[in-house]
Amino acid sequence: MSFQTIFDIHQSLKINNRRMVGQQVARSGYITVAQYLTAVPWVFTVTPHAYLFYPNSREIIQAIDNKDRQLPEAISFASTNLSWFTTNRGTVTTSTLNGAPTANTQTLALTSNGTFKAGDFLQVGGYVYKVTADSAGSSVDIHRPLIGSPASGTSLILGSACTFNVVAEVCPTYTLNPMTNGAFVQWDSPFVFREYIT
Amino acid sequence: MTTINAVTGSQINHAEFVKLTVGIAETVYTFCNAAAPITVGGITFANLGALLNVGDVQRDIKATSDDMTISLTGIDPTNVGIILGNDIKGSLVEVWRGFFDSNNQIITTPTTQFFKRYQGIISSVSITEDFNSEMRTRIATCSIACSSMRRILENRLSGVKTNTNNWQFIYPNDTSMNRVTEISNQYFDFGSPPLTQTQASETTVTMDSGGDSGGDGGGG
Repeated sequence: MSFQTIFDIHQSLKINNRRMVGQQVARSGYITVAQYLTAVPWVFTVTPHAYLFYPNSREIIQAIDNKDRQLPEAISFASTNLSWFTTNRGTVTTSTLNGAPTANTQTLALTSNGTFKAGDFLQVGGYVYKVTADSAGSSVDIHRPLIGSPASGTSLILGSACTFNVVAEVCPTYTLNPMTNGAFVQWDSPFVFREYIT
Repeated sequence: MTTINAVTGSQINHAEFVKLTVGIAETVYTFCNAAAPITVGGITFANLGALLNVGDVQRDIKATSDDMTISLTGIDPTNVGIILGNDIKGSLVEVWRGFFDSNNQIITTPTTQFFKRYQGIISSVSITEDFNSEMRTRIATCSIACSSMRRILENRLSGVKTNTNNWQFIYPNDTSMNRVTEISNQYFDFGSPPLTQTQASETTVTMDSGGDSGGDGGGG
């Protein structure tokens, strides 16, 4: 528990999963849009809790120091405080890839035992995707190109069971504000976590 | 004329593809910015990780001599190895732009929407390091400067120098340039009597064959 703790007790969470897109508006008012194909990594900006009591938080801080901006960590949103973020609204509980998907595809052929709703989360090949439209379960559209080349029959991880493998792009330093028998930890900036795509 | 059908609509989905053919062994390195490897025309372009930037490519109606820079991440020692390879200079660089359909597959109808943007050879390479001790960050970038084939041809020297060594390298038995060294930098006032007496260091045999009278050979 290091970065996971920061997520669990965050004060605010900003999520960036925007694609790389260029836009130009002509003098006539027409707009041309071009997407530059990328992996569209998840980026989380987490404002940490401002009143961690240092004597009780040394273990957490040391775990963060150990990871620093170098080592990744799998972040889960399955806890009671965070499961609202990834809990699926569809009825599916098990699903596997039906056939090997084509490279960079945004449509997955599945064998599922239920439905997906738009905004549901699924994880395949270690990377997390959002479902873009309601689906009966045999074919789902995902919000970004499929990363890597998962094999046919690969089991999907669904909903709150999904984990985001992230590395700290910004790992703030902290200031200790003394108080009785200890100090409060004041982080100098928000944490920024970027999906670790390898 | 090349027709790029993919840009006729208002929605465009594209990526860049780079191929380096390095050295005499012609080792091929490929990069693209997609999420998964893409195979086009038998070439599989590796995804992720290496490609940072492709510099501007000048596009003119007339042929121009344009240079371009490709940047690769220097954090990955593999790329540093490519840069420091013995035969990197002079290696072939090709850059394409590919256009995708709504499912991120290269458009193949009516024609494959995959177009070469640039071809040149590597003229120089560099590795730059931004070491920020205050921020405790280190960023390394491998830059490959490429010259277009037109630039190469512009700067190309061709022909043969008219001195003894160069001339006889090609024509070993031809002595016609033997006196170039002696007469180079000499002032000749053609038509006037010589100001000083000169004597050739080698005797040139002149064959008088009819009307033409032979003279001292040489030229420069």
